[in-house]
Amino acid sequence: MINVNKKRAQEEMIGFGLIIIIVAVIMIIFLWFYLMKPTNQNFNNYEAENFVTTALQYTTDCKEPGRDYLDLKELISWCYDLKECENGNSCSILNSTIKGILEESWDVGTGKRIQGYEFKIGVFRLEGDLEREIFSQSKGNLTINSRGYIEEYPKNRKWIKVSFSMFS
Amino acid sequence: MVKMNSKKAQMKIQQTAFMLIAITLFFVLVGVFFIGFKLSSLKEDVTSLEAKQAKLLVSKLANAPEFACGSAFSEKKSNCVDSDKVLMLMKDIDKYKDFWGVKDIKIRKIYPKLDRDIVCDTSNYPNCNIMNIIERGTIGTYEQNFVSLCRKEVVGDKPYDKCEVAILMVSYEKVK
Repeated sequence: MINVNKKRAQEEMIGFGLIIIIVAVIMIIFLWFYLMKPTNQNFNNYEAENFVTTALQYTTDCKEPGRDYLDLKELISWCYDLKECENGNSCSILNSTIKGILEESWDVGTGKRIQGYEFKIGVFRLEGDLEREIFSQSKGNLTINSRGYIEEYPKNRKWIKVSFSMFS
Repeated sequence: MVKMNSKKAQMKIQQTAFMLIAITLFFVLVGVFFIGFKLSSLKEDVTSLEAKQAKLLVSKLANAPEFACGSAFSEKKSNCVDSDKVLMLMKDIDKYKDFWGVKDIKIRKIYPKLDRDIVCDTSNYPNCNIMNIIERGTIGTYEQNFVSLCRKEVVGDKPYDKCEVAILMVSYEKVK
């Protein structure tokens, strides 16, 4: 009689234990779903894309002799062709303009949202190899976690590539 | 013997009842914990939804007819805001206050940089760097996007397009 009662008590304990295990599994599943929810990215590619697009549309101080001021996109070609602006050297104006834009647009450093950036302009042959680097600047910590954007457009059977990468 | 069995049965029923109460209480506690957990994340969800809306708005606002450069400029520009148009919009902004469903919209010129912040109005334009399009004075979080801030300038007697680097900022309120 005592043995039967003991067995029944054991069965009840096992039943209770099973219920607790099932509930624990359900809770773990809920927790897992919650933790696996995608987190917001601090910055996206569109930010880099918008930056490059905006920078290329910037009206520079380089005046085309007898005509308008050039935008940055035109000034890159101007610099590549080694043409002079009415008011100075095209490559110097290009350098100072891009440096100014980068300086005012991105606040980089350790502990900041963006730890570093890299901005490059190069002319590439159709085969894909670099013919000439027109501009290159990087600042801050270039970590392995990067995102960026490349804008490329044709120029005399070559490609001008403007690339911008942000590192977090 | 019958009396003893009946007492045992009563004990058994009591045991089952206690067990059922304990399990119910356990599930109620789990439920309360889960609801509390969900409610606390609900506020976060509202904020993140508002942030998402602001992010979407900030990326499409520059191309909205009220802001976009359109065909007024020599070549078609993307992400381009016509500052002359925005200045006129600011004069009549009361009609648009709730149109975009956000707290604040402002444009800040970042390059070329001015020595100090100057809020734009008709008297100082274009020698200013902040355009407060919708301003409610609320403390919120901003989503921002780079835009070209373009206007018509005249050199000699010839007009030309002058584009500068700016950021378009849209603010939403954080749910506390």
